[in-house]
Amino acid sequence: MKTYATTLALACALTVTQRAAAQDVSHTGSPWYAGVVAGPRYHLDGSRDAFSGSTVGFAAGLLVSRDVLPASSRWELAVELGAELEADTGELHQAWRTSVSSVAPFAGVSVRFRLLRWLLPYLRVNAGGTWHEVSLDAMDGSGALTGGAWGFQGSAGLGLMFQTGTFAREGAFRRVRFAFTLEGGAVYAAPVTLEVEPRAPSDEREAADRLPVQRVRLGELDASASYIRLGVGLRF
Amino acid sequence: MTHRIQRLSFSLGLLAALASAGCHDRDEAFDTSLNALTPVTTGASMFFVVPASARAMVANLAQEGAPLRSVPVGLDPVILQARVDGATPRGEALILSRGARGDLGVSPEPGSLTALTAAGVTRRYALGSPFNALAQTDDGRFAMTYFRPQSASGRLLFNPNEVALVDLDAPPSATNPTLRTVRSFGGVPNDVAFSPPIEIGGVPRRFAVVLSDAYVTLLDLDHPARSEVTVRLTLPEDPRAIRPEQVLFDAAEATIYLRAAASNDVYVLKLNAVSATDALQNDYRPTINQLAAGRSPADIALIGDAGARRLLVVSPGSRDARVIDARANTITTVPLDAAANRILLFNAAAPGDATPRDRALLYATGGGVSAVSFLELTDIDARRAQNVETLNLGRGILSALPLLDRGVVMLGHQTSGGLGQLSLLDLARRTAAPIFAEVSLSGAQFDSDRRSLWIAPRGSDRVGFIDLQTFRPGELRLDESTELVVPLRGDAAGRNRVVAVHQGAGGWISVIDANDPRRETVRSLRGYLLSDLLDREGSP
Repeated sequence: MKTYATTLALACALTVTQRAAAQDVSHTGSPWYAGVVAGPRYHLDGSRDAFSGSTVGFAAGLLVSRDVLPASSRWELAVELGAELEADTGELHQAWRTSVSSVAPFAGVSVRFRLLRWLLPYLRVNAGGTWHEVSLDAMDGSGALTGGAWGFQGSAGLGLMFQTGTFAREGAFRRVRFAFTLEGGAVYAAPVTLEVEPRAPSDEREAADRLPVQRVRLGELDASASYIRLGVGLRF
Repeated sequence: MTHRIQRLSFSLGLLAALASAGCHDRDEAFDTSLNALTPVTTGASMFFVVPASARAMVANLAQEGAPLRSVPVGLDPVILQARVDGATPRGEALILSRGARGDLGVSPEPGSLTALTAAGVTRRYALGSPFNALAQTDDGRFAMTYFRPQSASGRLLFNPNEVALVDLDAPPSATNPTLRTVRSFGGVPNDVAFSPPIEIGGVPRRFAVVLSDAYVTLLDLDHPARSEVTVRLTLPEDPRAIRPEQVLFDAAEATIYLRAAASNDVYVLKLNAVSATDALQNDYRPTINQLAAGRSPADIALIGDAGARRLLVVSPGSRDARVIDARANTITTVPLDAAANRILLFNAAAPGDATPRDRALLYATGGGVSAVSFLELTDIDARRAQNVETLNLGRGILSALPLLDRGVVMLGHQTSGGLGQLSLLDLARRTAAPIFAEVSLSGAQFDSDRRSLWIAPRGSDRVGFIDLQTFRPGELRLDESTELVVPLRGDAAGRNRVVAVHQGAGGWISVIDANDPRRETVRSLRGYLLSDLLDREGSP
């Protein structure tokens, strides 16, 4: 169900972006933005610590946005699509090497205010699904337990976009400029119930021969966090 | 404009501070060891205890997919026992915790005894002291905690003669448990034995018999407020460390029989009724009788009907058996061809006598003696050695598993001469048939209704079983080598289960259908000690 909702949200966002792209509405003449973001996440709940050696995670992602407001305005409204990955490793109970990863495709909007030609404070909100996956490899060689679950995630943040001038006055690069972002905010991740089971052997015969296993409920993983995020990209 | 930028800078700084404000320390509980005490089963449930996290887990193995329950228990749990069921199945486990003396970040906590039901409900009895031993009555109503001698107590001061008596049928209260310090003649409790109900002066009561070097202490369980009675086994000037090892109760005669290491005597305690002047005074007084029992008596058993009970003793040092009548103070000595250190009483026919009668099998474990003796108990005083029949097995016995309802004893031997390590001794025919086996009887377990015997050889991913109806052996391949096998009570459909416990991080068991032991009917559970890992109270 969560997967369908996420897919629907992405489809809507793409439709809006395509319509906006039909006209050059950006004051800067650079309505598109594509970039990468990365930064620390300060998890509010300790459940993720079970799989991570650090209470501070690190997330990185890709982001594409398209302005949709007329160019005359000092305000920019952009719709955006992207995905973020947060992954950590650690040890658990002196017996397991653990890893946890969360992949979150999202769609959202950001509102920017052109304070200066090179400085745009912005507010950003987005929502999407998240696939959480954990793995526990026994140090005694007795095998690994794995499990995963889908969840909902939404975030909101405030930030600053710093942009350069265009690379050229005319030609192919007349709209292209660098943009840097610095953003802080919070991610709400709906708690998901994690269950694990032994990882199936890669050999098909061995996998078929394995005794039936019962899954073990680890409990609820709450990945909500506050974050700081740095970004770099191109506006064009 | 400058002000705007300043405000923005301030806002971003505040944002960064807020973002990191949610930061917390990693819970140390995630770094503690998951090593668990040996699991126990009761009813259809299996209980696990992880000392480092002071948590117990209950798995209902009769229901496939049933969630595991995880509950906290007292700090520093050291003993996990299934509560004795008695007349009605209770399905509880007992967890003895030593508590904590207090440390940086750890508040002091008294020792406790936790009774845990299969539904995950607990009753915690505060014991106060960090006891390290636990004993239960045969009906599972009472438990006694005490200090077994060990090199270190982990406390600055402790009283090794303190005991706590817990009425497990009653909820914890100011008077439950009852704490007592048993009188000491310099020793400490080595063990505790519980009597069946013994009627003295028309009043039935049960006793806890605390065994210490050179003396025993009697506690009246039904009158816990009354003082204990201590009985010395030696004279005060006798320096011998007479260590009581075995206790038998003759309820009909209100008599307690004791066998002790380093003593060639058996001790007979007769509990005589006396009149008590008040409710806190004991209404009985023991008298002690000391009877010669050969050299190094190793096992004792009560024979005969109620009212005419006598004590059968085997003494390997003098290679004889003795029948002791404590009331008449008479001893009948029966010389044996083969020394014995174990007695097994049985009722069966014999070659040349189709009538089932009370008989005894006398044998020696340890592997040094390769013959067993059958002793006819009828008319033993007159016939003595004529009542003994010796059967040579050709090899020594290491262990024995009586299957009296099948009329056989399964014997474990050392491997020799190509013979298997097991044999079946038919008690009526007095024949021994070998079972070819590559495993020993060590750790063998019956399933819950004793229809099959299960053996898990160390280091092998197979478990062996013997159908005790047909004595047909079989084996089952699992996914990992097995540490021990544990029987599980059958479900409503009458299906018995056996649990194979494997070594593996986080716990690993395989639940075997004992009625249909095939690989297809086995199901495996791994990592159950991680159950509810993310939801525990200790998590931040």
